[in-house]
Amino acid sequence: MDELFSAGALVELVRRYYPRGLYGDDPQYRESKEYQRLRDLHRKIQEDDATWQRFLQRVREQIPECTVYDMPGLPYDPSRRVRVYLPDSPLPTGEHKAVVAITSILAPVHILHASHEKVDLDEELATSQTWFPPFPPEFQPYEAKLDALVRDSFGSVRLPNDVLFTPVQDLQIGNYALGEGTLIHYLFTDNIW
Amino acid sequence: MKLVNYFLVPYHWVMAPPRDWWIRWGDGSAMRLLNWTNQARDIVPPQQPSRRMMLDRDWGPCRLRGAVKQPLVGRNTWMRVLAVFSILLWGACATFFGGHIPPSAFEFHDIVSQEGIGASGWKVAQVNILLSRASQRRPLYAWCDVEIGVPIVSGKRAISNETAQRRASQAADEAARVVLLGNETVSAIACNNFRQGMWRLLEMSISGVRVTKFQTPDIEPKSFPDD
Repeated sequence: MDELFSAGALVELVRRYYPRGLYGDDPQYRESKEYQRLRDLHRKIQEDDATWQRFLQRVREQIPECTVYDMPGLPYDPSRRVRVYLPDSPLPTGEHKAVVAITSILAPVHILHASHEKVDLDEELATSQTWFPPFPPEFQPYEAKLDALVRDSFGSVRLPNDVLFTPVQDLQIGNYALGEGTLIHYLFTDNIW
Repeated sequence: MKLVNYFLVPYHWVMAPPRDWWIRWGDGSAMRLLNWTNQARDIVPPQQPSRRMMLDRDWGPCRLRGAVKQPLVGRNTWMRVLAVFSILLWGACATFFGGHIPPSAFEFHDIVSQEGIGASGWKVAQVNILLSRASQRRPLYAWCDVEIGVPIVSGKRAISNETAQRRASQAADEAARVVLLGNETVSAIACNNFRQGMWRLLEMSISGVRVTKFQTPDIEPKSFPDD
């Protein structure tokens, strides 16, 4: 893999967007230049939605048997994500199987994960299980199609597990404790489901 | 503003009054608050009655003997209060938790429309929540800004405002209980733990839910307790 996308290089990259040694509740956190840099980038990406919408359209056209759910551009994550529900997912109740693609706004990198939710409307319970590669066999054909579409649409690199789960010292994100997060949280989201 | 709604009163807070607290009666006799039942030297009667006499006087309803004057009106009441107080001291490990945040404190606002193909939509509620623990050793007084974000439709399953409010209220109560029974005294970490606890509880019923600091602009946050 390109040295640009090594764990070390990406750790250095995320340090430009998250202040060292501060919790999000610390007043200095939001005043930091790193946080301001992240907010500015986030705002800029949200204003330009065309590439993402074209990508979603391609997903719908090329995987028509699946239900595509766009998670809206929210202020929480430095990324965008789409959930592609497999054809055998009876919605809204029962078991939902989905392949999820997440693209980072900090670097031309993306990830895919498999998600298996069980929803019980009567009990209002939802449980989910997540896989990173290798996916269970029933997810793999959709994983390949979606990965190809992401690469083609954004020219991004899919990061391997060992890079994704590299710890990042001295930083804090979301509800994780200081130093508890890994690269996947800082590059993509702290809410994998 | 109400004093607190989430609060924890560990009894060790009242276990350690200053050692020079004395109860002084109108006849000039006095009794040190600590160890008063078994340390005669702490009891200073005006006419030096015997230890036995002191104990009788301490506990008994007007069973005074010898040269000790009649107690003032209300001494009995004091004794009863002290007895109850002592029982509480001996049960020092007990703790109490109180407080309940009502579902109505979580007022959800739609911020992303669910219109359009495959759009799940998004709504958020913002609440400032006070976590307070009255304790000498581990005090906490933290206002936590909490934003709860939920999809309007999750996997074609609509998440109603009522469901989101009820679940948020339940999760907040439980997460507050866990934080306040813990030892954290740093507000930033306590709030972080509170949000994490809420998120873990909410995600058991609402897939994709987010619990964060305030992130969405232009929402009028509510406060609990109310200002």
